[in-house]
Amino acid sequence: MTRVLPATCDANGKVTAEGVEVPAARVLTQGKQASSGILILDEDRADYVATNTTDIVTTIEKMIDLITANSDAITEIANTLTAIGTGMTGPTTAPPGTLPTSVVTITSKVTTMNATKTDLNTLKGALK
Amino acid sequence: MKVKCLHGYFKFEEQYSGEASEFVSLFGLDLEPVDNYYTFSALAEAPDFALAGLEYLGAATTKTFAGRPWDVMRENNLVYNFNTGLVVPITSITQVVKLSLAGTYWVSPGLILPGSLTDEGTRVTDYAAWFSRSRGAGLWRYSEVTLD
Repeated sequence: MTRVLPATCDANGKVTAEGVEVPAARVLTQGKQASSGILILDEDRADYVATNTTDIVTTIEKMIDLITANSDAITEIANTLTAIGTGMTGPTTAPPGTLPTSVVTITSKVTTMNATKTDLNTLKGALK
Repeated sequence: MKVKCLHGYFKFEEQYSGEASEFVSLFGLDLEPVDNYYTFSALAEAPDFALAGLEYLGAATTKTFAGRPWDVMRENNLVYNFNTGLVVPITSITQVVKLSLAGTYWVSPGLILPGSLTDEGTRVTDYAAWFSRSRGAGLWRYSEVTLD
């Protein structure tokens, strides 16, 4: 006979249900930060599963940020190359006037991507 | 009426209509219907799980377990003391029971309190008994008795 109870788990893996700690509970999800979830009891087996949909939502949001920054950076590179190409039709070898601004924009996007990568690494180490 | 004691949890199964109310009027112990049997009122809402440290029908538990109430009580060494109306540790029962073999049955005066001690020092954990209005509250017939 299986019984499912609402439960919580702290960042140290301590599971609590019905107001008491359940040392016998095994945390089946990552359990690296506090979470709420369910305790599944079946005879003398007790398993805790976090409701980790917030982890997934955050991951997806970060992935969207990353893809957006990538897209912006590549677009800026394409625009820059187009501008350089346009300037190469005559005898001049001078870079287009927009080049410094474009480089700053590309560098900024790389910074954004690295920050998102750091966020994702942090999340990976703190999944519920 | 068949009476099953499953590690201190009781199931009363009527063979004839009215036996449960007959039992209640004879012993003054309330029964309530649960599924297809009766049990003592105090056991009617027995949870199907225990969390170690969380009281089970008022008794302290030591083991986290999910199962039928009698399994939960067995795992936590609890029995229902119908004399006091409390679920208690089996070790708290000090009553001594006399079982006499009578043909293919054991007989004993009254309903055996689960956890009762025998002369050999073992405890009665489970049994099947028969209640008959014709025999009233006198000698009970026991077809199965499990000692621990």
